[in-house]
Order: sequence, then structure tokens, then C-alpha cells
Amino acid sequence: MILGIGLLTSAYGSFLAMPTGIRSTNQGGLLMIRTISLILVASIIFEISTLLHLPDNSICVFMDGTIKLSAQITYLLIFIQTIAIIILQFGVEGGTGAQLSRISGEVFLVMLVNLVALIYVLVGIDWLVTVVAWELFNLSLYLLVSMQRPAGSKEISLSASVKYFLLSAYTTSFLLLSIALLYGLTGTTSYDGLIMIVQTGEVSLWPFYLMMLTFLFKLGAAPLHGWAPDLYDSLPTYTTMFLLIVPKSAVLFLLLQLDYVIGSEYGYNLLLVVGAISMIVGSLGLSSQWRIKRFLAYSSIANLGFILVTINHAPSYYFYIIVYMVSTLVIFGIILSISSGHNIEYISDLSGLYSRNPALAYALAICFFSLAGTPPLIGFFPKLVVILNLLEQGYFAILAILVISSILSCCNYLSVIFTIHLGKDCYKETIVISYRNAIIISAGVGLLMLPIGLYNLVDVLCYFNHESMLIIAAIPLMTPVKSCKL
Amino acid sequence: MISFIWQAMGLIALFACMFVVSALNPVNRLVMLIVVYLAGSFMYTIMDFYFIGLTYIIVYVGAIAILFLFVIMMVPVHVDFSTPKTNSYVFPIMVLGIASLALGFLVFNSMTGLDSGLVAYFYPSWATSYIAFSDVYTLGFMIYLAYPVSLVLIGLALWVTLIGIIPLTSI
Repeated sequence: MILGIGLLTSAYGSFLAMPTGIRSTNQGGLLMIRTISLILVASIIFEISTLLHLPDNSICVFMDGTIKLSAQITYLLIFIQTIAIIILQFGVEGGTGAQLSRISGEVFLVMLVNLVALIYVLVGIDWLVTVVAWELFNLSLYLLVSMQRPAGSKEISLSASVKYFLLSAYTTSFLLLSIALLYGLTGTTSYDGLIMIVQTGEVSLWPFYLMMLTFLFKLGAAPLHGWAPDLYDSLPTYTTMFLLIVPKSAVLFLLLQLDYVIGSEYGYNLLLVVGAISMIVGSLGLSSQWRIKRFLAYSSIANLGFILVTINHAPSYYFYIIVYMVSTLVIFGIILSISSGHNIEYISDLSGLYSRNPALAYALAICFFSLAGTPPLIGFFPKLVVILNLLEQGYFAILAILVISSILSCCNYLSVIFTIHLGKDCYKETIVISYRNAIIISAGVGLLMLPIGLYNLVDVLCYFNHESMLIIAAIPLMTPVKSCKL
Repeated sequence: MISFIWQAMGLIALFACMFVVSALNPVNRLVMLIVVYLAGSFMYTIMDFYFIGLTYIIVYVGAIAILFLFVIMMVPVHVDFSTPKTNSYVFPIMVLGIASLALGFLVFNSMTGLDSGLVAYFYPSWATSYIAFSDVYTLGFMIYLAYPVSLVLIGLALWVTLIGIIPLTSI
């Protein structure tokens, strides 16, 4: 990480050293993408070497007990940075659609700072480090959402980003308050203080609830989701892609760093309720959307519900996050690639995509089928594991909500697929996308179609008992029936 | 007595905050903002953190509030006094203020355990745990020896703000 900061400084140095002409024209952004991708690759190599030198199941605490590095966190960092590299590559094309404007170099610098902050949020085990890193993380997000505005919707995007800024600053103050309370109650600012509070159950639980308020707001979980559809809708597609994937997965991973708290009954009950509300709101909201990015925002809320209810079982939690993030990445990649000619704003803009570029239409359909959880694709397995997990613990009410909302959102995904394949085409010309995007999209779709899920499933299911294994054994029998019905 | 003054300062700060967001005239808002900072500074001073209290006044009142004044002077702000003199945000602001007051009360009660009879262990502050030093020493030790990572991250925050300001203002 020290290496990362050194590299960051050198990136800024190279940015400064550019001749003014280059910095002001379009080439600056491309140069920044290249530099930052190199920095991220170097950082991943550094993390892999860390993994090689770290003994199994060992945890390394340094910087006077404020930073903790374990193999698990290192894997998560590698995942996030890899996704970030892929997102950076999409930025080469320019992310704002119709006006074909290139993205200026500063946006990528801010993204890099966001990544550095996110690393410290994940590795810090002292709340004072976490809160400063959290502030840096928020600050870079505020800048990111207000730096690039599509020309047409200036006022809407301004109001959405100001709303995000004010509400986020307001909820961050709750995090500060909770840390102050934690210090007052336990006399320590390290993560261990939270264990004392939750496990003894005798002292006040306020620090924990206030903290969860901040994190759930940042995730856009349902009672606190008001900012999410507005913000995601009004930003350029490229920024939306970054916002939906990188910060969200970081906060989700941070929640699991607190697993000793979340796993306790207080924490898990809170997250069950929030998850159930998210599922209901997300899947109901999906049905009334006609703008594509709003649709994806509500889909992310619904999926967040599915993720949150399985938080006490780490393998299925990670599995769901990774599968969901990859599908979102591919969907946004496709939308970004086809919006170079005409800006894709409405779902009806996707109508007739099949006649314009059949391969892309198939790819998009596969992604949506995967999000809907259709059996042969990988998106089916995380949902299965979540359902099994709930079944095992006996949360039948939550299970019923999950199944119903899953069916609801499935119908909406199907209607989008119907629009893509059978709708009338609104534009006649064929779409040609660049070689770079085509490679990334086809790799992503391949990942969604591969039965990798089965291998992961075996690992995940070691946890479950024999009755659940019987259900698993019955699934191959049910699969053809299910797909026939669809 | 001291604790009463301290809580009174907190209440003053809260009401001044509500005034800041609900007033219509920018100069009134600014004066009330200064009151908020002063109350915060007094609260620190009452708790014997002289250095932080004075820094509050010097930095916030002396520099930032004056910068706001410059902005108000230079931007022609027309306050239309013919419109009704209520801010449409008054009701939400009242709700937020009362909610935060209630929250503070609730948390305070749960911490001191007035009703449940539990014992809360208040840890001594930084200043008393480094009792031999003045609070400047304590701050220095905390920032430079205990949490250097946070210092580096704050430096990064300054850097990203500098980067972000340029495109934001040049739109």
C-alpha cells in the first residue's frame, strides 16, 4: 500500500509533466488510463506476492495495530482492482454516449484515489483509520458524481449529485457519532470494541446501529435507497458503471469484515429486515421503469436484498457478490458500447437490437437471464445457495418474500429481453463495436455461461447438511421442467 | 454548573444550526454560523482542550467565515423581501433538529444507564491518558506516532480536492 501511494504520486507527476497541450486535449485521458492501469497491475502483482509469502490462515497486523492484512482481504482487493482495470478500459471509448466526448484525465485520477481509499477502508482495523479512509472514499465519490455531466440533463444530474452529497455527509456524521460512542463505552477505537458491545449485550447497541445506518445508506439498501435511482439515472453511463460496481462491492466486503458483529443475532436480524424490504422495493420498483439505468438501479436494490440476507454465510455471500458484479459489468459494457451512435436512455431504445447486432442481443439476453436466475447460467447458483441458507436456518417468511420478489423481477427481466429480441427496431443501421469492448464483453458472457458455478457450489455446499444435499440432487431433475415452463 | 454550561452551549449550537439552514438573509446565516463555531470552541475549552478550542476560532471564524463573507460581498445576492419570509425548509429542519435532540438524549440515557441500572465505563480522555503532556503534545503524538496512516490519507484527500476543484469550477 505504501507502494501504491508512491505510484499514485508518480501518476500525478506524470500528469503534471505532460505538456499543457496534451493535458487539455483528449489524449490526456488516454494517457491517464494507461498509467493508472499500470499502477493497478503493479499493485495486483504486489498483492499476489503478499499472498505467496503469507502462510495459510494467518493474519498480519502492522502499523501499530491499525492495519490488518489477511489472505481473504487480499483476494477481495485483487477482485476489486481487476474489475476496476476492466472498467478503466471501457473508458477509452468515451463514456457519455451521443456527444462522443472523451473523458478527461481527472476522472481517472479521482477513481484511483477512490480505489486507494477503498483499500484502506477494507484493511483498517482501527476506527480512526477507517473513518478517515471512509471520508476520502466519500470525497472522491462526490467529485466523481459531479465532475462529468451529460449535456442534456444538467439540472437533473446536478440536483441528484447535490442530494447524494448532502445525504451522504449527513449519514457519515452518524458513523463519527457511533465511533465517539464506542470510545466512550469501551475505551478503545479498535474493531475489537464492537465485539465487546455486541457479544456481552449489556451495554448500549447504539454504536452498532448508527454504524449500520451509514453503511446501508452507502449501499442504497431499501429504506435508505432514495438517492440511488436518481443518481444512477442522471449520471453518464460510464460513471454509473463505476459507482454501481466498485464502491458497492467494497462496502459489501467491509460489512463482512465485521462478521463477528453481523453474525450475532442483533446484527443479523437488522440485516434480514433491511434485506427483505430491499427485495420488495427493488422488485416492485423494477416493474414501473422505462429508463434503462433506473431499471438497473432498482435491480441492484433487489439483488442487494438477496445479498444482505445471506450475510452470515460468507462463501455464498462472496459468490453472489462476484456473480452479480460480473453480470452488471457486462450489461453496462454492452450498453456503453451500443450507445456510441445513439444515446441509450430508455428501455425502448434497446428495441430491435436483435436485427441490428444479433450477437450483442444474445449477450444482453444471457446477462438478463443470468440476473433473473435461470438454471443453466451462473446466476442461478447464488440464488439457490441463498435459498438453501435461509431454508437451513428456518427463516421461512424471508424465504417466501425472496421467492416472490425473485419471480417478480424475473418477469421484468423477461420483458426487457422481449423488447430486445422481438421489439420493433427504432434505428435501422447495424451496430459495430470496437475490438476491445468485444473482447471484454465476450469474456464476461463466457464467464456467465460456464459451469464454474458448479465447482463453486461444491465448495459452498460443504457447509450444508444432508437434507439440503438431497434438494441439490433433485435440482438436475427439476431443471428441464423449470426451463420448459419459462 | 460546568456541565450545565456545557449542555447549554450544545443547545445553543443546535439552535444556531437550525437558524443557519432556515434563515433567508445570507448575512444572518453567516453570523449564526459563527455562533455555531464559537459554541463549539467554548465546548472544547470547557473540556480543557484549550489548543483545539482556540484553533476552532482561528481557523473557522477567522478564516473560513471571512472567506464566506468575501463571497457574499462579491456575488450580487438579491434578497427579495416582498416574498413571505418563511423558508420552505423550516418544517423538515425542525423535525431533524428535534430528532437529533431526541437521539442525543436517548443515547445519553442509554450510555449512563439511568433506567436499566447498568454501569457505563467512561474512558478517560486522550488528555488524561497522556496526563504529563499538554494537549498540543497529545495531539502530536496521536497524529504523528499513533495514526500516521490517517495523516497520509488526509493528505490524499487534500490532493484529490485540488484535482477535483479545477474541472468543477471550469464547467
